[in-house]
Amino acid sequence: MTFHGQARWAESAQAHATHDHAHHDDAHHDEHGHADHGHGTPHESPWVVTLPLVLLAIPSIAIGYLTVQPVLFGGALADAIQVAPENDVLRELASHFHDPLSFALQAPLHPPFWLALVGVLLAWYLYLRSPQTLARLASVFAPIRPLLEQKYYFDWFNENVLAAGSRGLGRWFWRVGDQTLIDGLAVNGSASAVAALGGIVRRVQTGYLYSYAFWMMIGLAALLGWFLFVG
Amino acid sequence: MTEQMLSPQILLAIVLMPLAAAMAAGLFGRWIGRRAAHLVTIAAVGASFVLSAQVAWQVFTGAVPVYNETVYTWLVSDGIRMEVGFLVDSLSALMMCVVTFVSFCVHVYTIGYMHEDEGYQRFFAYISLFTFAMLMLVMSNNFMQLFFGWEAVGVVSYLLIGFWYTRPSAVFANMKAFLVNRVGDFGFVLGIAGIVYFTGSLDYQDAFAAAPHIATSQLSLGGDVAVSAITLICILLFIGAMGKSAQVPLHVWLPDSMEGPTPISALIHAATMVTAGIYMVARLSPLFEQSAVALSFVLVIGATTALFMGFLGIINNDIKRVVAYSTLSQLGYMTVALGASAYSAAIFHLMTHAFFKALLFLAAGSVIIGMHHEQDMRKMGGLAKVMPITAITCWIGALALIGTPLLSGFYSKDFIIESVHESARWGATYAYWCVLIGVFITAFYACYS
Repeated sequence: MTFHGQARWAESAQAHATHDHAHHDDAHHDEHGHADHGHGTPHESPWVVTLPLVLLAIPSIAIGYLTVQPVLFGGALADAIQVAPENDVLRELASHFHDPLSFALQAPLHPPFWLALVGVLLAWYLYLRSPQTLARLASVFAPIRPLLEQKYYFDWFNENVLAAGSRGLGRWFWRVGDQTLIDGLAVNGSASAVAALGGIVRRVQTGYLYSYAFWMMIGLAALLGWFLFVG
Repeated sequence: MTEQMLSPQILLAIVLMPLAAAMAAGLFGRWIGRRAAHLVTIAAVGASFVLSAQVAWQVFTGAVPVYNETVYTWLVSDGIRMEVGFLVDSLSALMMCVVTFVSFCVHVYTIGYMHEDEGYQRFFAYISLFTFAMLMLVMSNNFMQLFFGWEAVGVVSYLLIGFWYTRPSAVFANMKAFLVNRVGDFGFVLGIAGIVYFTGSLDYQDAFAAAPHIATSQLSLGGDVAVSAITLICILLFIGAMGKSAQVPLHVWLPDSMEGPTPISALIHAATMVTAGIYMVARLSPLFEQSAVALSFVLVIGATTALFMGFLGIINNDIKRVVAYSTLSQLGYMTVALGASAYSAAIFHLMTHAFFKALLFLAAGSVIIGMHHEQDMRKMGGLAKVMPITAITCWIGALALIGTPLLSGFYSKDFIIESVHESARWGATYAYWCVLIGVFITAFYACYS
């Protein structure tokens, strides 16, 4: 769909030219020299981009062919990886494997080859040959489409249950723990307790001499009473 | 000299050159300018690659024995040594080559992709820093350093998803990646704690030596409930891998991570960082081999990811998201291979996938440049005529992904399927059907793109 079929960028090119993404000085790096194509037209990337592509393409093609024998069956990793003999499935497979070329030629004997081929052909047919069939298929699968579009609701669950739940829990701790217990009881509570105590003590500490004398007399009476009746 | 050994200086150079370059570009980027920033980072990563390749050559030809030494003791606390050390055997040597090669390609590519961006030097600093962190992870000989590398790649991934920090969607995506990975890390840390509990050491070799002992032990979960220690530890460690390698249900961050610039999607979210979980399980194969239950768990999770994330690839129209779902699905294949005890097949697929998936992402990025930062495939079509190199290389990547005979993906994927077919483990039949149908789905969406 990206590289083949209709060039859908052609109609959007105009739009791009107007809000151009400041892509002017490409020509400096660019060996393909098409600065005059205008900004909306796609073009091949500069060599610093294509060189890594080519570098990575080489092992993508060849590394499997070159290393499959030593890595999987030649024990190249044997000094790092331990497998219990009864679990060693690769050793079982080794008896079917002779060399990478003949293994590749035997690929049609295994189901993955045919499954991949069907996948490729189906994609080609649906996207390049017959988009109508694709539309019809889409309506057949419409019931499960929301499930896929919502990515099995994992994000929904995380955001609305886990994240919202944690926020709710946090808010509860803030209200009950922070506002009621700490602020209400501990901080403001000690202040109001002191204030209340002060209110009571204040009544005693009147500042009038006669009231202190009166309290002394009550104390004396209490002491005398204690000595007389208890002691 | 009777027997040659890998020199610690070379190994340190491989790790530290990208770090030094990252600091040069990141801290002094404003003064040294754009050109110097990309030259210094590319030179450092390129040199790292050359040295890694040389080390790998020596390791694979058997010219040197396995290197397992401590280079620095950070602290000793209560008898537990926290060290920086390297374990260079075939597995780490292979990973070093893959990481540095893909990183090098991505560095060069970035010159073209980011050349208009304000944060040019910052970007180069981040990707070099990432290379350093990933190398620390794969070359580690202990859980401490593994965890350091694990978190460091996570940090850089976080920074890079939110690279365009003025976009709300990018900020949301990096927050999401951050939170989801913390869930995985929680399991990972508990798993490491379990190992330290049994061995009193953070060293891999001590853990491997103790594996048969752990396998016969029970861990009490409070009260009378006790579980097999090895199963619990392996599942906890694998939960860490699920976060990093984006397995269901901790996969949700990966498609959103496409908010980052394309070179990052290629390097971190396709070729290297997301494979850290696969690498970790393969590295710890002596532990995982002891627990059939944990491996069945791995197998089922992997199979589910492989099939169901493939379906999502079909309905997406954003070119990068299609490739992202395909990455999820392929990571599922690797996990399935781990679950079937075919660790070598998982690593083999990791390697081939790193190349062809990085290629696909970079080709997608090239299309995006060519289309002036348009990512919707419905607005493309017919690009093969104007972008021949991109089109051909992209086709190679797609054909490798599908598993066309003789191409890389064919061997690695076929052997995973065969291994699962062969496996007698619980869940293997389900996994076999998942990966088999997955082949069809993969071919379908790859061609549709």
